[in-house]
Amino acid sequence: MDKDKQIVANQIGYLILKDDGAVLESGGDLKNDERSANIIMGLLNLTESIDENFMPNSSCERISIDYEHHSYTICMSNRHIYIVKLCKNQNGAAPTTTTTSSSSSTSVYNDANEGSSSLVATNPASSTSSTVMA
Amino acid sequence: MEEQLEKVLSEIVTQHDTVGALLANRQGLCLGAKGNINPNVSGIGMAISEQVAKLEPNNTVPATICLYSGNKRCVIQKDGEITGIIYKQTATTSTSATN
Repeated sequence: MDKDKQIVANQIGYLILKDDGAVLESGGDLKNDERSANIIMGLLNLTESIDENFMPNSSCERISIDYEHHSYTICMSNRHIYIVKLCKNQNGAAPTTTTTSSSSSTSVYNDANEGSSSLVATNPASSTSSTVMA
Repeated sequence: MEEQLEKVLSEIVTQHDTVGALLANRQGLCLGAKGNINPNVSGIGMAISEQVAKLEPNNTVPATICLYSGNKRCVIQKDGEITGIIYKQTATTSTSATN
């Protein structure tokens, strides 16, 4: 059995990329998944400049991609890109009712999931940045 | 013809924390926008939803994409021919790096 890096409890795959898109580490469902890595790099390039008036360019710090039974969370930190694929059904996170039209999904959609925030907390870059010497 | 779209958009912008909402067609053209949102965002929003659709092409249920920047969020969802883009902004900054 692979000893994959476990970033969060309900993780089913992960990818760590360099800012140029090179795969540094991978595991689980995303093991050696360069195809997904390339698609996500393309997505990051697109998200760099959405709307300067709403989000300043390159200010997007996290992206989540939510499917019915799983989700991806993408974080950028310290010139690295962390991608975690999470399973929704394990820790009681109720699957959203996305069976109806788009109008319902706007009211039902539930982001700010705890799993992804703990991902940032475990990120070594964010914890060391608070201990900068004067 | 646009009445229904306008109605849906008006409903969306009345939701909690919602700043603006926009609907785009398959070509990335804006079908309608309400609230504080630039109609030109329809093109990039469509491109983002198309890019994410490549991630799991066999998945029939479209993904909901959420981009986070401080207290602001941009939610994108594709539903068949139409892509919806919603801007949300919370009153207080709820970044996960606070503790």
